[in-house]
Amino acid sequence: MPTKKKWTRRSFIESTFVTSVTSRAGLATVSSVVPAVGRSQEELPELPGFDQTQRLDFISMLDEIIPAADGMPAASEVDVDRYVATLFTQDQGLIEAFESGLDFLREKATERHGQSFSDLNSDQRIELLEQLEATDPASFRKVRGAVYEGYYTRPQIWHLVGYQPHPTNSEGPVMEPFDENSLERVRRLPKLYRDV
Amino acid sequence: MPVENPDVVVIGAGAAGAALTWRLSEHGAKVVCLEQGDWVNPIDYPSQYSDFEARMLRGGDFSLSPNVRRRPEDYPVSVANNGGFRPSISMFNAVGGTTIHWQAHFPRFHPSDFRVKSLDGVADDWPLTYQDLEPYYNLNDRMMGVSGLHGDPANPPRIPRATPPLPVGRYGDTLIRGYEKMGWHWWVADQAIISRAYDGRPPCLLHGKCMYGCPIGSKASTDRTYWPKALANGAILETWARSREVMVDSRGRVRGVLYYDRDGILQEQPGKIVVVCCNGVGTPRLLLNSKSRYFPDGLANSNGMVGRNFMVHPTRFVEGIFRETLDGHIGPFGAPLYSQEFYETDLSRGFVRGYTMVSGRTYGPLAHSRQVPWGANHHLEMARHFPHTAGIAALCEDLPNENNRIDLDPDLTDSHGIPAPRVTYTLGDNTTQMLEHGAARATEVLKAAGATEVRDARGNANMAHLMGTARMGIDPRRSVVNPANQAHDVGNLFIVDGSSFVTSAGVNPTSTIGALALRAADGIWERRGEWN
Ligand SMILES: Cc1cc2nc3c(=O)[nH]c(=O)nc-3n(C[C@H](O)[C@H](O)[C@H](O)COP(=O)(O)OP(=O)(O)OC[C@H]3O[C@@H](n4cnc5c(N)ncnc54)[C@H](O)[C@@H]3O)c2cc1C
Ligand code: SF4
Repeated sequence: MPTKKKWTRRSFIESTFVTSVTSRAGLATVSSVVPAVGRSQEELPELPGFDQTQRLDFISMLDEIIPAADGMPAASEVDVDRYVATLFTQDQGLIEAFESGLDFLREKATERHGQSFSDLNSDQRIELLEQLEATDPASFRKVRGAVYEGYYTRPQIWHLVGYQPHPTNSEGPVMEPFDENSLERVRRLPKLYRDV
Repeated sequence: MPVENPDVVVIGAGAAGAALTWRLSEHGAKVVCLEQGDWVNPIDYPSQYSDFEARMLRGGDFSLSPNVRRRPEDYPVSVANNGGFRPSISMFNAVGGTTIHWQAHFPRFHPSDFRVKSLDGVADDWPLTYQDLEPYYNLNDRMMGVSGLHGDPANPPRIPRATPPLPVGRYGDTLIRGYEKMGWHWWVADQAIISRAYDGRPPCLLHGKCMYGCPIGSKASTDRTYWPKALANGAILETWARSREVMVDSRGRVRGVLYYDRDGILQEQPGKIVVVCCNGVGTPRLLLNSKSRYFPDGLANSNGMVGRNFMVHPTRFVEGIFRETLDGHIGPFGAPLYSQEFYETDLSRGFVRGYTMVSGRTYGPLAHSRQVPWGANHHLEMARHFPHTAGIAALCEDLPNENNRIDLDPDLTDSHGIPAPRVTYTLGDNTTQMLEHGAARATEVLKAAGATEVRDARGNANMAHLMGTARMGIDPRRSVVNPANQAHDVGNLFIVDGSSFVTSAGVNPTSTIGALALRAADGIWERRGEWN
C-alpha cells in the first residue's frame, strides 16, 4: 500500500513551497510518459502528500467526471488538475473531500480488480465513481463542483460553449433596443388592478 | 467619533437609511448615520473579473449570505430548527447596504396591497394608501434613476420613466412569445438601472453582472445615488460603527446609541431622534438587544410584537430549455419583463392574494453546469442547457404570521459579542397553494414559448426581501410603529425599512422601502418642534 499522508492547508502550502524550490533548483525527476493519463511525470500536478498512484488516480477521476467527448476536451486537458490544486490552498474541506474520495476509489479498485483506479477501463472507473457518489454524496458534490469550476472558468472552454464573459471592466455586448410595438396587445387590455 | 448635538441619528446606510438621511439633510437637519460596514471599493467587485462566477459561487467574501462571507462587519443569522426547512438569509452590510447586491427590479405595490383586510379579509390594512405614498415613489424614482415604460394596465398610471426600457434580448423575446400565445399580461420591467446617462451616472453597458456589483454606477446602489448628495448636504456618515443598543433616558425616551467604533471602542452617540434602518432582520435584532428598565423585553416591544410577522417573498423558479440559442447571461440581471396576470385576488384559484411572474436573467456556464450530470453525457447535456434556458420565478405574497419571527439566538454572537438574530419561518398553506399555481402557470408560458423541457426547481423561499418585523398600525397593541413610522412606545424613535411593512405584496420591496423612508423623513422634519 502506498504510504498516505494527511493533507492540511498548511502542510500543503509548505510542501508546495518545498517542491517548487527543488524543481527550480533542477532537482525534478527525469521525464517518463505515464500511459494511463498520457502525460509525462513532471506534467502531473504537484500534489504534495500524494504518491504517484494517487496523482494518477486524481487525474483519472477528473477525466471521468468531465471526459473528452463530443468535440470537448477532458478536464485535465485544460489544466483543471492544476486549478483544483490551487483551490486546495484555499479550502481545507476540499482537500478532505478529494482525499476521502481517492482513498475510496483506491480501496475499491484494489479489492475488486487488483489494480489501481487509473489502470481500470473507463466503465470500471465510472462504476466506482457512481458508488462513491452514492456512498458519500456530500464529498462527491464538492469534488464535482471543483472540477466543474476549473473547467468552466477556462477561456478555451468559454470559447467552445459559446460564452463571452463581458466582465464589467470591458465594454458590454450589443443588444437590440426594446421594441415598444410588441406591447400593442397588452396596452389594449382592460385595467387589471383594483381601484381602492 | 461621536458627533456633537446632531438632530437625528440614523442607524444603517442601506436603501432606507440613505434615502431618509438625504431627505432630512435637504431640509436642513443635522444628521449622523452609523453604519457597521464600510464603503465598498468597486475594484473589489467580482463582476470586474472574468471568473466572476467562481468568485461568487465558491462562497467568498462577496457571497449573498453573511454566514458564508463572515466579514468582520457581518453578523451571523441562525435558523431555528423548524422541521427541516432551512432558509438562508441574504443581505449585505456596507454603505449602500444590500443594494450593493440587489438586482434593481423596481416595481411598486398596487393600491389593493394597502387594503388586504378590507378587500380580501386577510392580514391587516396598512394605515396609509397608495395615494399617500405615490409622491414619494415618484421622488424615489427620480433620485435612484429608473428605466422602463409607463402605461402598464396592471398598475395605476405613473409618470414617464426617466430613461427608456433596457433591451430584453432574445431571452426576453422568447418569453414574450409565450405570454402573447397565452394572451396574458406582461410588461417590460421598471428597473433602477439607467439606460441613458442620468444625473451624472453613465448608461448601463449590458454586461449582465449586476448582482456581482456594478462598478460604473448604472445600477442604483445607494452609495452611488443618495449618499454623495446627502454628504454634500452636510450629513455625516460614520462607517465601521456597529450599534450595540439604543439607549433610553430616565423618562423612557431615546437619548442616543451605544456603538463600537472602528477600533472596537464603545462610544455613545447622543441624538434627539433615533431612526433604525437596519433591515427586516437587523432592526428587530437591535431593538431586542436594547433592553432597559423601561423596556426589559427590548425597545418598543411592550406588546411583544418586535420580530414577529417576519415575511419574505416565497419564490418558485421554473426553467425552460429551448432549441434556439438564447442570451440570458447578458443584459442587466434584474427582470427584463414581468407578468401580473395573477396578481389580484381571484378565489377560484384556491388562494387569496397573488404573485408576479418575474423573468430574471441567467448566470454563465459555471452556474448552468451545476444542473448537468457528470460523465459520458456531460457535454451533450451542457450543450442542451447553455445558452438555451429561460426562466420564470413566481414571486408570491407572503401573509403575516406571528409565529414567523426573528428573535435572539441564545448562543451565537457577532465579532463584538452582540447576540445574533435567529429566524423561525414556516411556509403558510395559502402561500404553498400560490407557489403551486405559479409553477404551473410558469410552465404553461415556457411551453407556449417553445421550451422543449421544463424543470421546476421547487426551491421555495426568497430570503432577500426581509419584511414585517416591526409592523405599522394604528393599534398599539398589535403593531410597533404608527403610520409615521414612529414607535408607539417611544415618541422620538422611528423604524424605517422593510420591518415596518404590514403586508408584503407580491412584488419586490425596495421602491416601497425608499418611498416610506422619504415620507418618514418629511414627517420627522414637520414635527421638529417636538424634537427636544
Ligand atoms: C441578491 C439580492 C437581490 C435583490 N434584488 C432586489 C430587487 O431586484 N428589487 C428589490 O426591490 N429588492 C431587491 N433586493 C432586496 C433589497 O436589496 C432590500 O430590500 C433593500 O436593500 C433593503 O433596504 P434596507 O435599507 O432596509 O436594508 P439594507 O439595504 O440591508 O441596509 C441595512 C444596513 O444597516 C446596517 N446595519 C445593520 N445592523 C446594524 C447595526 N447594528 N449597526 C450599524 N449598522 C447596521 C447594515 O450594515 C446595512 O448596511 C435584493 C436583495 C438581494 C440580497
Ligand atoms: S449590466 Fe448594467 S447595471 Fe449591470 S453591471 Fe453592467 S452596467 Fe451595471
